[in-house]
Amino acid sequence: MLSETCCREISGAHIYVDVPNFNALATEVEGEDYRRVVQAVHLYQREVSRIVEQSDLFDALRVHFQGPKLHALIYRPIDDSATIAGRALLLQIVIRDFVRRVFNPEFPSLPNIAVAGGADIGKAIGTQDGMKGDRELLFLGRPANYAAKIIGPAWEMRVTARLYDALPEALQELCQELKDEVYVLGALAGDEVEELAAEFDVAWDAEASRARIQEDKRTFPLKDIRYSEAEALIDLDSLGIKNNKRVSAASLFADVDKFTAYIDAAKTTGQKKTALRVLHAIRKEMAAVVKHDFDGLRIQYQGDRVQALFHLPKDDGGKIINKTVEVAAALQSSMELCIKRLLPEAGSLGLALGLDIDITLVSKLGIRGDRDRICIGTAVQKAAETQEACHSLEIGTTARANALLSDDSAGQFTLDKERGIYIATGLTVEKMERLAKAAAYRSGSPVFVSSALAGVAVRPNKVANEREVFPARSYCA
Amino acid sequence: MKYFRHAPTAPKQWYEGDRGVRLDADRALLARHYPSLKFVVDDSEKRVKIIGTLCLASDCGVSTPVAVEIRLPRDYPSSEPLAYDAERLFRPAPGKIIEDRHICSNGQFCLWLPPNSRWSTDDPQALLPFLDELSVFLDRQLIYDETGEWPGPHYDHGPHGYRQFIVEQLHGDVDLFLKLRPVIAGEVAVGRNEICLCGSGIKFKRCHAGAVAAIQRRVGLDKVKAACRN
Repeated sequence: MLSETCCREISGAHIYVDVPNFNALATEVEGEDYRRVVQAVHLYQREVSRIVEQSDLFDALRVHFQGPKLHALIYRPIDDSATIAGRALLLQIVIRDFVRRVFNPEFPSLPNIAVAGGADIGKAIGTQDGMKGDRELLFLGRPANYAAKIIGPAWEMRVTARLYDALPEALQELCQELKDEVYVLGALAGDEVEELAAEFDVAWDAEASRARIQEDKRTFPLKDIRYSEAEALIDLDSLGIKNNKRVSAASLFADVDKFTAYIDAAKTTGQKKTALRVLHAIRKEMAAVVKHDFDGLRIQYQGDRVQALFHLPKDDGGKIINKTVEVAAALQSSMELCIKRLLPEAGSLGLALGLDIDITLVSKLGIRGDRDRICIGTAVQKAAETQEACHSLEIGTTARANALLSDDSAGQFTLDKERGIYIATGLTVEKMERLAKAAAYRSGSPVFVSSALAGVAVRPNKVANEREVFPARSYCA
Repeated sequence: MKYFRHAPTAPKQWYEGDRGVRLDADRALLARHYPSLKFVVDDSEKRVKIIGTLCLASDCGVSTPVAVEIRLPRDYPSSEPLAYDAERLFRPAPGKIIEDRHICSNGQFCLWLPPNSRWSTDDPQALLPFLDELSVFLDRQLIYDETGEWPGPHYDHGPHGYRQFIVEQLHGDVDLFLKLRPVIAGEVAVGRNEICLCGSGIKFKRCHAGAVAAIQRRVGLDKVKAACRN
């Protein structure tokens, strides 16, 4: 059993399969069709979970869904990297086949969805966070990180050179080298997929899958699928296939930059423990800032990053995005001014953040204790991409989010033409406070001074018994 | 008739002249409002200064300590104290000079243009508003660190700043300043009953004589001359 204090180094193949166009559907579709989208999302993920977990199929570990993106781990048979690599490639093949031959025909009124995947093999440290029904599996290390990074355009299933090298020769022939260290899977006909699966003891049967999808559609008919807006903070535990939220919300991703290299550099058990202790401290602090300081929703830990959502006040994009920038600055402050002081071993790390705002589907997948909180929408995808383009100490926004920022906040962001995003570097809460005060000074308004042994506070607004000061016009001889 | 020759004695310092009443009052003020600062009396040099650290607190809980030294002049409280960046915390922004942030090269904080001094010689509690102004000045320094720009209105360095001040005294009328410049700088003597140089056709004594005299008194003739030269 994995836990925060019981972590294991697990050798296996990490597989990610994304459905990028679910994001567009979850944002752009409205009305009755939105219920179809919600039903499709849930049924896709139910069936993909079965493909991953069922003992006659892959008997693998579904780590979680990151929105529409599956993260799975194949680690059995232990110490048989050829079979593990083969089954990892095969899982991508089967999911692609399932979407083409089963899923898209079963949802004819929706645009066809397309999948894209990536897989890598190697050792990663497994840990678990959270409590009771809120537990989340986490894998840290190169294969868990790199597999997601190599995902390419729709329908491309990619594997790293490490995984390719571990493949049996028959499967290597199905792949072509795409670029340095990355191979791409070629096309396969439906019957070829089933034959190949059988060779690896995977009982993939498209018709059986179709029957399961049809049964799911009967169990969860369109009329039972509901979605609504949210006036108050969403209770994530109340969500499920029959209760979903469609909200205008800002997505925020906060990533511990260079953490993968940091943990991979840890060679001894002691160093690894230190690295994990640092990560747990950072993650808990990030979650506390989001949940307790800013009344936000902590959606998911994804390895060394945290995903959060802000949707209040309802339909007020300006306030939502400005608050999200404040949260991002607070996370930077927390990392730079608190965590690094308390945990000097975190000194080389820093946070990279990305945010965006748009219509987002918020729900929970699965049943009872085995449930993933998910957010799907273009803003989620763009926020994640923006974060991935950022480095330590940077906060990135899309043009859409930047256009909604207040003048003071927008002034902190500059367009990086190369990356196509707006970046603020070193933006902390302290800095934001100072910028707000700069505006007060510029306006010629009085400021208010209070002083005590602990220090001096100069505020733009009167709070209690401060002394009023009209700032003098400074000069230098 | 006998003459007694007294041995020459050093003049009494400001804190001795009133039997230490003002010093005690200022000490009490510091203890109450700025307890992180303390008076230091250097008896050998007969100098008094205030030293300590002002911790500028933010609402998010982060404090920035700034070590300050405030030198009280020998004729205190007739003249204002001078505050210094004791540890030279503040540095010029890239491509700029330290004076851009209203700090002299010797670390002295230029809180205000001298003719606009907020120091009140009559106020026995004058030290408190002075320290409050100093706190605000330091707070603006921290903003300067973030933005590279002085927050709020300010005067230019040196004679240019005085010139701005003089123009302000003439209601911002630059043309009027240029017409009166020779008389303000003392280069031209205009009789009180002569026609004012401003071109109004009115006698000088009924026109700008008062304004010119006020400028010369507040700024000082040396500074006026320097300001008018530029």
